[in-house]
Amino acid sequence: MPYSQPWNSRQPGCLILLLDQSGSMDEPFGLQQAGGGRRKCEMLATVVNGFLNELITANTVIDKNGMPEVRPRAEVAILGYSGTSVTSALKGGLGRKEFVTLGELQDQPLAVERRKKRELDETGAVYEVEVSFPIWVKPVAGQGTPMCAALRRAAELAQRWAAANPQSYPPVVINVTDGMSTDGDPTAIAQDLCRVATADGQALLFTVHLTNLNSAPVEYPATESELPNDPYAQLLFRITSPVPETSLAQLSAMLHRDLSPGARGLIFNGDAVSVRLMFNFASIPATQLLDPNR
Amino acid sequence: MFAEISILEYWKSEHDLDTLEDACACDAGRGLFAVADGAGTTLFARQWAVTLVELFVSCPLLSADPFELDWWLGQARARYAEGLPAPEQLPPEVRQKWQREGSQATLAALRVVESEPEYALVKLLAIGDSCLLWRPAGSEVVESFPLRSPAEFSKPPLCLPSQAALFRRSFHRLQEQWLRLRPDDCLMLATDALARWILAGGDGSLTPGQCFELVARQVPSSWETFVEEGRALRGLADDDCTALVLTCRRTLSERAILLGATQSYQVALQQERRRAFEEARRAGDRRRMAVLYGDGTAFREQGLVIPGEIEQARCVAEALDELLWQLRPLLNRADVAKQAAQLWQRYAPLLAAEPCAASLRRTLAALGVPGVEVGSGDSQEAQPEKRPAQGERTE
Repeated sequence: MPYSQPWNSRQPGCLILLLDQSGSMDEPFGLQQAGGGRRKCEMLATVVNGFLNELITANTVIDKNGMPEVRPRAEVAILGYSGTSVTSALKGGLGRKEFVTLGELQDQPLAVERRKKRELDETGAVYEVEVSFPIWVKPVAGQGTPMCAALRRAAELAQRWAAANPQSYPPVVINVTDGMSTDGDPTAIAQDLCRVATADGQALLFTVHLTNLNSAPVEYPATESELPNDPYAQLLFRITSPVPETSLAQLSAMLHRDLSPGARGLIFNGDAVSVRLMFNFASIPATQLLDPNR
Repeated sequence: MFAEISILEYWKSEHDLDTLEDACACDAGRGLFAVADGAGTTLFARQWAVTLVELFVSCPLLSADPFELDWWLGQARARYAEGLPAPEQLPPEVRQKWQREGSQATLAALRVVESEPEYALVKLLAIGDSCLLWRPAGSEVVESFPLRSPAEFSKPPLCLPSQAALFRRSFHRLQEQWLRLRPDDCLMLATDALARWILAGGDGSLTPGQCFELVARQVPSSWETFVEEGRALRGLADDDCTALVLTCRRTLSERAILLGATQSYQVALQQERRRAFEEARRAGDRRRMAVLYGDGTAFREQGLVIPGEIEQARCVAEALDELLWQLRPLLNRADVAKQAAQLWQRYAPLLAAEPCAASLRRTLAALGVPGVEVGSGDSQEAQPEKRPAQGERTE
């Protein structure tokens, strides 16, 4: 069955995040949305940094000598796109590599913010813990939405990665955008991207569309009719991959609702919570969920 | 009843014997068997899984009652804490993860309650996706517990947490089932990858009965090859694969040993539990009383039957734990005082005068919740404290 290989040290997974850095990402989310009032680019950077930190800690194990070790279960590329260019959203040495491992990410954050957080023990007494927030990606908002260029670059990376890892779970690409492509129709390029394959299936393209509208997101629709009557929404639906059958139950558990077979990995009119949930869902092969109450 | 027993353990490709996160243990003479699967995304998962199975065979959990499980997990936490490094020896990010999540593991356990020449009456307990599977003698049908179909394995499993603060009696519910085994019946305790593979009929080309038979025929020396071939050719997932196989026999043989039974806790443990209970009773600590009393079996055998008192203690314990569970996610919010006040209004009738809620009342008062009576015995101002070590109880 396709999409059944877990991400592990011998057969790592591939995650490519495409971050829209166009001018409209400087605008705030709608006040009724999760993250309401904050600039979209800021919220996106916060979500990406939090997700990367969680991905690293979820894949940290204690080795036989009792020392922590980050298992190289995922290779990650994070690309930002604005104006006419697509560049790594990572900085320094990490930004010069096509893919970075989780260990490399852990070793080279741009900065680490430390905050105090209150917790309760089982008697109700308060204690304080220091919580680290490593930062790899900073908020950026420029001009234009060169989505075609971004998808083309993702396809190139995915192709090279799949050739080097032919037995692994196929590359997963998540495109987070708040606007229409300014460099043409991305349909054909998205199709090329989804033709990249390993023995475990074809590359997956998931999409999160952010807005500042004060209405509920449309999450994981199975038909175009679930979306607003909007050519742009329908375009995103058509270029987005269906959720693999092997992941439907996990995603249903995360959403606390059943999903229809054929549900696409698309969130239209999303907010900060939607983005985080999509990232978590896409990395399930590396971070098998624990109990659904957490 | 006699039984042939095989313990089959092999690890996923990125593990080895030392990093295998499954654990299994048995004491056939007392009729106790258990497997556990440590959640790989949590730290020290193997140690927690080993702790659970070893505790089960030395001090078995006798029922699925939530308070009994709470008491039993307290024993597990104390053992688990003994073998771990001090938190300050860990790098900060690792320490934070450990303090936040602790370790987590699923558990499947079997206790023989009666072992007679013609049958063995057994009690099965399980949480999560570690399973017990059995096939009556001469039958092709495989039954399983607690999961019954391959599709159920796609959901995130419930896990027992090593951290007291993460355990919720209403949520972490063990399931139990009784079973009567007869000569030549075969039963196995298996972790998720293997259980799923059997119930799915391998890659679909076999029946569950055939898969069960293939596993039941293995011996420790053939297991590695069997698992590797299963992964390469028959759709077995690359995960730790553990099975504890029990085949019932009517007669003693070179391979079959006498299957014992366990019906109650050991006397010394019962006495220690009674002593701790009386101490909590004298202190008026109803929450601790409720947990120590558990399902009451250990106390009824000593003649202590106090249903009214225990019912009240359980109400207090439930109220305190539920309030804490709901307060935790609010604690760092700007409107914590308002939210906590609403919570306190709901639970104050039960907790306002309880000694076990003294720490909570200090916390609520410090947060600015109006109307919280901080008694003279617990009037010290609430200050953030040092984190208690894993497993350490602070009552």
